[in-house]
Amino acid sequence: MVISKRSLGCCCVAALFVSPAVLANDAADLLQRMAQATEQVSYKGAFVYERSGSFSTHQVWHQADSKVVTERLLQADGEPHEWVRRNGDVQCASSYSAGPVWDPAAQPAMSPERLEQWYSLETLGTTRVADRPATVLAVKPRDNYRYAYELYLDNETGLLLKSLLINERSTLLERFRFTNIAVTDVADAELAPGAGCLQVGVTLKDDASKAESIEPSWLPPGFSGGEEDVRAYSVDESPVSSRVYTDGMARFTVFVEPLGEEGLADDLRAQLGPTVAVSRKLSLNNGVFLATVVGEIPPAAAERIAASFDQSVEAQQ
Amino acid sequence: MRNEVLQESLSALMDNEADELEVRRVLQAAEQDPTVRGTWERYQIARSVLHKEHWQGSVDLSAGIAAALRDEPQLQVAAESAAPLKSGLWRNMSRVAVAASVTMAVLVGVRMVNQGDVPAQPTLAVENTVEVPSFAAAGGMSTRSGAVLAGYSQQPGVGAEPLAAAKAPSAWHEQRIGRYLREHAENSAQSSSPQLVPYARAASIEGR
Repeated sequence: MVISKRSLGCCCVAALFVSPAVLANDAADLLQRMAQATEQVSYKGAFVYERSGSFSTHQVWHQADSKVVTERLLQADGEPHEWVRRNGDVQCASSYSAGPVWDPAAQPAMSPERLEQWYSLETLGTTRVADRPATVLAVKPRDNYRYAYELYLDNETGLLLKSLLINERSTLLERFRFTNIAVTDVADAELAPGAGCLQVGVTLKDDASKAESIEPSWLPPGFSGGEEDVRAYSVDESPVSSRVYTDGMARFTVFVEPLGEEGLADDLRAQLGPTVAVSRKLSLNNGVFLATVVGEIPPAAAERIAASFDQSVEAQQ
Repeated sequence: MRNEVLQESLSALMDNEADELEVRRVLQAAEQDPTVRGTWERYQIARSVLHKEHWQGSVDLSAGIAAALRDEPQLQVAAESAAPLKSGLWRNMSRVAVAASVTMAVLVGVRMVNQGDVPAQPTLAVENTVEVPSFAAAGGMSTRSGAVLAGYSQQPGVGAEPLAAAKAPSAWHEQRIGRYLREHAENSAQSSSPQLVPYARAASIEGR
């Protein structure tokens, strides 16, 4: 308790000198800097990721030079999972379920102004991560439809060194943390993919046979959807449509596909670490469909989105 | 309100043992009295120090949750109209009851989907399990799936339905959920910032 009293004392002293408005501004600047750091800073290092049921270690080489960002990621334990990306596009991957049809530009950039409508931003203090001084930024939801984040940002570069995802019951859902990082130029040789990193295959994008467009009639406030993407997983399967929704921090994807004869499915909920999946079976005039919400949002929010499909179906009929 | 009672509720909440009434008591007190929030934060900091996560205690979500309790739209209004009771507690009890119709099918489990995770169930403190890090579960490297699937009967308003027998989702559906999880993670890894966290999520799914 001695420690907690002392840290509380520090907070009080700090509060005397800094007004909340300044704090919020500070925090927004930090976020902006974090976003820019990815495009401007070259580094290499190692990080750990843990969530319920999984603990993994990874190495990263990140080279940012005149408008080209190249990044190689390698899982350091178990199977050598590897990704190489250039300006966000996946060049090769050791395993990949779906093709890179996604257009990164279609996703709105994270803007602190927009974020602050749905989250309160607050700098909590400074600490040390991977032997570097870091500033702790709390991103707390203003309602029950999203999780809280704690971002630990490198004082020198603004890079994200550590992040925590916390639910409404103050339970930690996942932890990401660099164990060491060197801010330095990266040699081309270090960015070269290993033998196990395969060219990403062609995706069967299927625009002709449009899947039924079913959208949820309710979204958590602040979330907006991107472009709808329709694709088949293989030639003899029916197309699945998907749409990504984000509030700038949290993301979820809505998948809709027709249920064929082999497609036995029912209403269902699954939880994998911080990610929830909620399925609803929908009966429409032209067949039965399965709609599934998948994302890092509280289960209650996902359930509510999924429940709103029924209303959109009713409206259509 | 008597201070001792409040203190008891606070520590019950800390230990994830508070009931509905205690959660409301604490939230209400915290709204009216900033010192209660201070106490809560101190407790949290003390706990997070124990867990070596120094800053974890500083995230105070009680304001948002209290607001959500107030504003929570009544999804089950139709079902309740038969019952004349309108107190907040009753409304919540009824939500819990609806939630109880969730049936669980634990396939390869790291995390039980239980009533604590149920929609619109606003208590802070139902789940006693420590979710992260779960080394026991992580040790089972051979387990293919970390996902826990819960099938449930979706009949609006069947408030009093008892727990039905666990019903396993079909193999097809399970495989589909796995694919959706992967695709969502990969897409997030490609297009969102900060990028490394979604990448790590995707890798943790690939690695199963």
